[in-house]
Formats: sequence, C-alpha cells, structure tokens
Amino acid sequence: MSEKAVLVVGAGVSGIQAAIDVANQGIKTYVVEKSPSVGGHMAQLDKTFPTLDCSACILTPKMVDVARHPHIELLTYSEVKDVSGTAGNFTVKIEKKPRYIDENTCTGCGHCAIHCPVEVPSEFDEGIGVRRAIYVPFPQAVPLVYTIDKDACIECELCQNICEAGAVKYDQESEEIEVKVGSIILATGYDLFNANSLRNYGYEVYDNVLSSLEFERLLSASGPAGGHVFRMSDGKIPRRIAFIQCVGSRDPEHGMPYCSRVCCMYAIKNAILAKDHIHGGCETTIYYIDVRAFGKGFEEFYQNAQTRFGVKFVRGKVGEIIEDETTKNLLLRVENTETGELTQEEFDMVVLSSGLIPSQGSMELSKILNVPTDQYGFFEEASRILPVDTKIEGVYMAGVCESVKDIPDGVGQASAAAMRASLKAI
Amino acid sequence: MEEEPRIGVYVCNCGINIGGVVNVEEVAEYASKLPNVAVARSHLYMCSDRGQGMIKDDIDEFKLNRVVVASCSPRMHEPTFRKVVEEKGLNKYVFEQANLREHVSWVHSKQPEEATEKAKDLVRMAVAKARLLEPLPQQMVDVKGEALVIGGGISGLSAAKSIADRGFKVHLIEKTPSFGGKMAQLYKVFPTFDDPQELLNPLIEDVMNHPNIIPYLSSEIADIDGYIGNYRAVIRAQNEEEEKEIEFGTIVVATGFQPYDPTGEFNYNNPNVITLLDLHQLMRDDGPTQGNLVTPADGKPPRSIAFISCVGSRQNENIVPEGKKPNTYCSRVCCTGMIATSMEVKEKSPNTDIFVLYRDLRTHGKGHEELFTDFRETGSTMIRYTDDQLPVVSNNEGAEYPLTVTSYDSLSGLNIEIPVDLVVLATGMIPDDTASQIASKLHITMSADKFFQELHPKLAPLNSVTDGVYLAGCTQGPKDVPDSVSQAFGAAAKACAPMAMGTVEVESTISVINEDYCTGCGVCQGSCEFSAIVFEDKPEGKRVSKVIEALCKGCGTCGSSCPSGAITMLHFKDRQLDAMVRAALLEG
Amino acid sequence: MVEVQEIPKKVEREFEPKIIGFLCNWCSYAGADLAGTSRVQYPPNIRIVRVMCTGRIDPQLILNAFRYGADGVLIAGCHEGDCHYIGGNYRAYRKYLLLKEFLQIMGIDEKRFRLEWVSASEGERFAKVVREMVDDIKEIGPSPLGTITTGGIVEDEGEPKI
Repeated sequence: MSEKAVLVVGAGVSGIQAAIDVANQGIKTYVVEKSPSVGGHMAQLDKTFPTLDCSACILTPKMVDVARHPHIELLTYSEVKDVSGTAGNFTVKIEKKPRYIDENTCTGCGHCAIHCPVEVPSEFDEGIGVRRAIYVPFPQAVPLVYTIDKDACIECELCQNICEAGAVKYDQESEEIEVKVGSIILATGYDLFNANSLRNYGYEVYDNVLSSLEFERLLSASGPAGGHVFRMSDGKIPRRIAFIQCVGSRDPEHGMPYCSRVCCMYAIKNAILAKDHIHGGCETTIYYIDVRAFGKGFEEFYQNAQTRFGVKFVRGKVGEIIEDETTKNLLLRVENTETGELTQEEFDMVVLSSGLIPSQGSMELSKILNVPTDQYGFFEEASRILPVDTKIEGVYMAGVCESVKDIPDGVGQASAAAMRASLKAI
Repeated sequence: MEEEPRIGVYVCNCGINIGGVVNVEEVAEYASKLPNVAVARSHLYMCSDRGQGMIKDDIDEFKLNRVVVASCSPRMHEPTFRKVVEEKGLNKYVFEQANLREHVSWVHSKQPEEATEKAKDLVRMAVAKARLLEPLPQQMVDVKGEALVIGGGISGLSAAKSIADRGFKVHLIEKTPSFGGKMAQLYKVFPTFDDPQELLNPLIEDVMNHPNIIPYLSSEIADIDGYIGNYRAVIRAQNEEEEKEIEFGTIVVATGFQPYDPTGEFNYNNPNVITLLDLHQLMRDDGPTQGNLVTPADGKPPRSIAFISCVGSRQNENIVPEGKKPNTYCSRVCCTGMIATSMEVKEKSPNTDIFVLYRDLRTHGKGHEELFTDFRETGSTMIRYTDDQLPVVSNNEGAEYPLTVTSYDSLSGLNIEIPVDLVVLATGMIPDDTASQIASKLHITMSADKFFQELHPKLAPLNSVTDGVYLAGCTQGPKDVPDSVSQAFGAAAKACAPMAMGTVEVESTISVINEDYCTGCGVCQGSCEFSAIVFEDKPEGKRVSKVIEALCKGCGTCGSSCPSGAITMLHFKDRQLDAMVRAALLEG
Repeated sequence: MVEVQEIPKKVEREFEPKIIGFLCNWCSYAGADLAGTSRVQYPPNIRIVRVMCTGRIDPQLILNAFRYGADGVLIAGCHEGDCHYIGGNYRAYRKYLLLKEFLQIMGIDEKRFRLEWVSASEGERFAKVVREMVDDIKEIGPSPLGTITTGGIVEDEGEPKI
C-alpha cells in the first residue's frame, strides 16, 4: 500500500508546476522551499524569451495557485533533513526554520520593514539592491509573510513594537515536521556560475562588469533601479553594452565543459530589453561562439533581434577585459573569427552570460537521498526513455536540477515528473 | 439581475509597465466618479497577493457585486481575478477586465496624455459592460475515464503507458503496421549511442500486453466528435471494412513529424545525395545493405562524406526554393544528430574523410556538448557557412569523385571545394501529414511553423487550445527522444487530471434561445460548426431550435445570424457589447 | 504704459478619428496583445471591444457604432482556416460584404469599415492596419452621420428595444 502523497522539493517554476499537476489529480502534495517565498529564479527575471512576457506576470498566478490549492500543503523557509524508506513509503523529516514571525497572524503589511534600521544586500537583487533585516524577498512573494534574518538583526525590537498584528515572535524555534509520502520530486534548480574565477574578465573587480542575473535585476521594473539601467560606477546611463557568451560554459579549463543552453537566448533578450529600457538609444553587441536559438520561436527571435532591434553579433570569444581607471569604461580584446581581425572595443558596461550550475540545494539533497549525479552534480536519469526518473526508484526530478533548460522545457518536464510520481502515490 | 450594480474598479500600475506611461491615479480618480462605481483604487501590482486582498476587502466593505480590473490583457489574468471574486462568494462572470498594458501603455509609450485618455475610455467601457453583467451557473460535465492516444511512436507509447498505469483505459491508434515511429528507424540514438530497439522493444511489449491498453495498428480515425469528457470516435483499420466505435474522455495527440523533403535543393535528385534518416537506415543491420556503409550509386564504401546542416530549417525568403514557403524555425536536433551520426560513420569506416558544413553548431542538450568535444578528436573538418551563401553540390560527370561540394568558410575566409562520394543533408522536421486533418477534426490550431500550437508557451506548453486535447512529442515542435518522452509523460499527467477527478467545468458563456421568439427557421443550426443546436418539437405543435449546452462553445455565430433576435449570447449580449460601444463614443 | 495682452487664438485641433475595433479573443485580440509585448507603436485612436469570435458580430452593432459617431469600424478575426470556432470568421466576412454595400448606400465611405484577418502572431500587422485606417480616415474627414444619440436597436432575449 503506497502512501497517498507526494513531496516536491523546491518551488521554482518547475517545482510549482509539478506540485500543481500532482494536486490536480486529487493527490495530497507537500511542497518544501528553502527560501522565504516560492518563485525561484524565474521571479527575478524581467521578461522571458522568446515571447517577452513579463516573467512575474506569468509566474504569480501559479505561485498563488500553489499556495491556495486545496490539495497542496506549502512549507516555505523549510528544508528536507532526512529521508528514509523506499518507493511507495518514504518518511521525510523536514525542518521548518524559524522566521521569528507568526505566519498565521502576519498580514504582510510591511510596516515592520519600513522601520527596521538595518540594511543588508538583497539576495533577490543579487546584491545590487538592499533589504532590511526583516523582509520579504520581493513584493509579490508567496506567502506574503515577513521573515527576520537573525544574522543581520540587531534585536532593537522596533518591529515587534510596530507590528499591529503582534506577529513578531523572537523566541520562535525551528520545527521538525515528519511526513509520509509515496514518491518525491526534486526541483532544486540552479545557481549561477560565479565568474570571479575568470580573472581576465574582472567580475567583482571592475564596477561595470555584471553577471546576467545582476543585469536582470537592473532591467526589472520591481528591481533596485525600477527598470532603469545605470552603471554601478557612476550612475550614468550606459550607451554601449557588451554581452559575453559562454562564461563558465563550454570551457573545460576555467569552468564547465557543458553548454548552459539558455544563455544565447537570454542574452539576446536582455540586449533587446536594454535597448527598450534605455531612452535615447543604446548599442548592444553580443560576443558568441555559436548562437543556440533552437527552440520554438527562438530562431525568429534571433533574426528579429538583428533586423528589427539592431542587436549586433560578433563571433569571437573575448580574451580579456581591461578597465579604464578614470572613466571605468571597459576595453574588450577579442578576435573576430569571421574577419580574422584582432579588435579592441570600448564599452560602458559588460554583461557576462554566466552558465548555470547545479544549486547548493541539489548538492545537499543528493547526499541526503543518495541520488546519483553526473560529474557536474546534475541528477542522473534512469534511462534515455525515463528522463525524469532518478536512479532511485520513487524519486523523480524536474527542471534545471536534471540538466540546464529553459522555462517551457522545465514546465513540461515538471508535468512529466508529476505523472511518474503520481503512479507511486495512488 | 435585480439588485443595483455596485462596481469596484482597480487600476494597476504593473510596476512601471502601465504607470510609466498612463497616469494611473488620474484614471482611478476618474473611475470613482462614474455611475454605479462604489470604489476605485490604483495599485502597484493588482495580481499580487496584496492587490488581490484589496479587492476582497473591498467586496466586503463596499458590498461590491461587480469588479473591474484595468491592468494587463485579460488573456493573462482573467482567471486569476475571477478566482479572487469567487473566493468572496461572487460569481466569476461579474468580473470584467480592461487592457491598459498591451493595448495602451506598451503601444502608445511616447504619448502619455493620449494614452491616459484612452485608458479612461477603456475603463469607462469596462464599467459599462460590468453594469450589465450577470452571474452565470457553473457548467460541469462528467469525464469518462478512458483516453485516446493518437500516434504510436515513442511519445504516443510513453503517454499511453503512463495513462494506463494510472488506471485508465487507453485506445492507442497508429497508422503504420508497427509501433516505434521514427525512432525505430534510427541506427543509434544520441548522445550516448543507444540502440533504439533496446529502448523501444521493452516499452512496446509492455504496451501490447498492458491490460488497460487497446492497440490499433494500421488504423486511422474515420470520424470523431464530442467535447472534453465525452468523445466518440470511429476507428477504421486499413484494408478492412469493419469499423469500431469507441468512447473516451481525453485525447493525447502524438502524431510526430516527417522529415523535410529537400527535392530541388542541394542536388538531391543525385542518388549520392541522401538525408540523415536515409543514412541511418543504410547503417542498420536490417537496412538495404545489411549495415554495410556503401554509396547508393555504386555500392562502394565512401572515401569522403559531406554533411550539410539546416536543410529545410532556418530558411528565409532568399534561401528557399521557388514555390516553397520558408521554414524559419530551427529543427533543434539536427546539429547533434549530424555530429553523432558522423561519429558513427567514422566508427564503421575509419578511413572515410568527414566534412561537416554548418551555420551555428547547436549541440545544446544534456551530454551534447561533450559529444561535440569528442567529435573534434575524430579529425573531421568543420566548415562554417552563412545564410547568404549556401553550399553548392554539383555533379562531376566521369570524374574520380561523383560530387563536389563548394562552400565559403566564414572562419578562414576561403572558398572551399570538396570532392565527395556522398552528401548527407541534415534535414529538418515538418509536421506529420495527418496533422492538418487532426487539427480540423479536433478543432486545435497550428502555430506559424505549422506544428500544433500550445495554449501558452510557458504556462501551458502541453495543452492544445481545446480543453481535453493534449500535445506530446514532435507534434508540437521538433525535439529529441528524452524531451519527447518528457512531454509525453507530462501530457499524460494533464489528461489524467480531469479523468481522476471525474468531472470538469465547461463553458458557461453559451447561447440561449428564447422559444417564444424562435420561428424554427433553422438558420442558427446551419451556422453552428459544433452541431450544438437541434430542433425540438414543442407540445403545442411548434418546432423550435434548442442548444445542447455542453457542446456550445459560445462563439456567437448563431446569435448574429438569428433573424428573429431570439438568441442571446451569455456574457457577450448585444446589450452589453452595445453599452461598451456607447461608452466609447457617447460618454466621456 | 498699458500692456496689451493678446488673446490667444483657439488652436485648430487636427481631426482625430474615433475607431471602434471588434477583435476576436483567439487571434486578433492576441495579435493586438503581441503588438503590445513587441512594443510596436501605433496611434491611440482605436477602442477595442473583445468578442470570442468575429462570427458574434451582429450587423446591428456595427450600424449602432456609426450612429453613435464612430468615424471607422474595424472587424479583425482569424485567418481563413484558423478560426478557433472553425468557420465563424467566414460568416463574419459574408455579413461584412453585404453590410459594406449597405453602408455605402447610406453615404459611409468603404474606407471607414474594414475587415482584416490578423493572427495571434501578427502584432506588427495589427499595428499597420490601425495606422492605415487612421491615415485613410483622416484624409476623408469625420463620419457624415455625425452623432445620433437616441435610438439604436438592441435585440436581446427576444425583446427588441427601440
């Protein structure tokens, strides 16, 4: 007899979709998410390719769905600590970390944050923006419940005094929850490759060299700059932006040998958005090896980027970035492989299209569950025709934790994982 | 609706998407003064928890019975806001949405004043309709716990097995005499060089022996009608008189692809110019040469082979043969397929020189880049051509090599001539030839690339535009085996949801015929594509038309055809639409 | 010295046509949405009424629109063969052809009444159609009907209201 429930670990867009598809079959679904809100990386994006949909707009209905679904129990700010048992009968221990806020009484009004005297870099804003010690990661967070970052908190108790709902509870402790499920779906997503290991690009050294996610936050209307793009060094508007592809990908020497699959498309998208957001014009150049515009509508998007939006494409891997000490502009040394010329181009801002690597959460879970991963840390599939089954029976996977993919593929795979998982929970 | 309308109006900033152009506060202020508007507010993100909460609180406080949200397109968030009003006990059809983003701020971004005026007009129009909205009863239909899967390739097989394992009966129909589709024709499956038979055979055996699956080989759908939960089809086996009628609740379309036909391109009529799929069949042990790699024209092993990518894909007006419409899309799998196949050739025939002519090398999938790295160690030559200078394949009559491939290499800047024994065209995918028939039989639509259109590329990539019909595999667009299987399992999950629940909600905004005004002329029936209107004989001897509610899709064609004015289209009444037009032109 | 103040002349406003657009939910409305997501710009003269299918459009609604002062009316539906309800767009086309003749007899130039097929992926095309209509109608001036605020036949639930 199987336990008639499924556990989904990770509530980015793939985890959310998997949970909804399981729950829609009338099966009880637990969703565990380690950050204070569901949404994952997709919530950080401004627009998605190739349709230029507003990312938050298409994600928030699903986020709300997962929180309100009659068959879903959502556990945010929680982590899976231990799993025992076998397919059909897993026992999972979950730690619900203390928010120091009573989830049931917090109304999400935000008065506490307004008065909190502590500001720290915001993880959601990739360190470009700030948040308070008491915070929600972003305005459309689900659940809309505040969390106190105890490491940043100075225990001034202002929030407790301000809170009309009396929701602040400094003495809250972590809770251990045990659930019994028939199957588990892993949807633990990715982290961005940290380009600071590529010394020749000056990431984290030069002010105006940004990672792709940092740029996304600049572009986002609800980001730290309200959607206005400006330089970190002097606040000026960049008129020449370079995008460098394959940072940490297709690079066995300094990064990962595999292709991160989505960077060509997201760079094209961001180049188009930069032109759209920057009034008065902006030149964008993408330095690439191959343009991988392979999905539905992608090739047309790529062609449009050139013909309608005027995004420039140069085939060549940037060898070195040098910063001008006075202007903080960036000089790119690159060989244009189509013309054979060695060029030096100056830009106001450089965005590194960093690759995607398995998340910290994936790594931790693979140890807890003994789920085999490949040499990079992505979960291994059981066979070519069981692409969402891990090598452990009853444990399935969806999204980037299996391999790098875009949102449509992640969402499709999530439904697949839901199908497989449901067979062990009925 | 007897009670007086009390309308709440909510104008969304959508971050700066709307607020950056339209003066949202001014629009909300304007709305608050319209007749029957009890409250009007503006907010940063109406779709957020806080925004939704605001509506709910106001419904309580102001006793609202209609809600208007002026924000993004209703095609995006109408369901979201409908749920909000339902949570407060209102019927979802008393909600109306005005589009201030896609239709105003994003298209008139340099004219903020005009945009604000237009926004006010659109809000006024939405309020005018909202005044006349009425609650509509929810329509539920029963869902039969049986499914039809169309297509017996890897996608159809995977979907069928999933649904069957879940406990529902599956009718699996395949037009050819065997299961396995195009995958069964391959020599090896990339990137791990699996034997397709080893992968397929256990699955096919499972399917053939599964108690819940009824397979129909060499069969086609003669007729099909119905709606979600209640379909009926007639299946005919080829060369047989007998027909079988079946009933089922959901449909998974897995009709796959067919390879692009490169006739007229790259000298394809020369017998030594073949497609990638042809090459696979040549290399198979059960192929025409028992797996010996020889050229079709003279039966000798090829000394050199040129592979050309992007044949039938990534085309534009300039590089498509006359009379053909360009396939602008990328077929996604050919780059890796070409690389992998060339490595298989090299393994069978280590002395063959391999030339790969490509535009961009799209080895993007799991393990594909690593495969490409291995490929670069085989000593094969890569030539990068551009879309304005296609490679030319010419005959060499009586020369040592039968063909010459001439191409410009954009990386060296040189024009290269290669003498070859064989040219392999990495042809793209096009939809299966049954696709357009299926489209019209099931009322599903095709995207610009002629593959089936998904309901939403991100929110619903596996749903077709029609409830109850789901898409799996290459029928929706080119993809490889793991992605096809993923999609197939996913489509199965979508099909299982309504079957597991046993009922599903259908369209409430349907046609209603007033019998007193109906003269029984039947014009409406003639205009209905869904056979949703039939005659009914009334006891008093009169014959009138009557709508079969579960079949009605609410298109309104009958409504505009009725000469007696007897038909009302719920939620899109003449009166409601006219009120919007009046509001746009006469008021304000 | 008394300062003479010039009374500013009333500025002649350029004629801005008012256009009503009936767009179907599946194709043209989505196409107009796409114009938005693609940020294709077009003049703000059109006011869109969403219907599920162009087949829904009763000729009386069009006549009323002209009565109420529309300078132009656009019907935009799916391309041949693409109608979500299979043939609604054809029926709309048949009515349009007849109605166009009738309107011309009433003195309404054919440039004021257009039917176009716009698919969900034709954002650019939708914008182009609007631009063209606005330009065409600016040339021929406001609708000769002026505005008739009373009347307008609206049929509902078998109850013609006049």
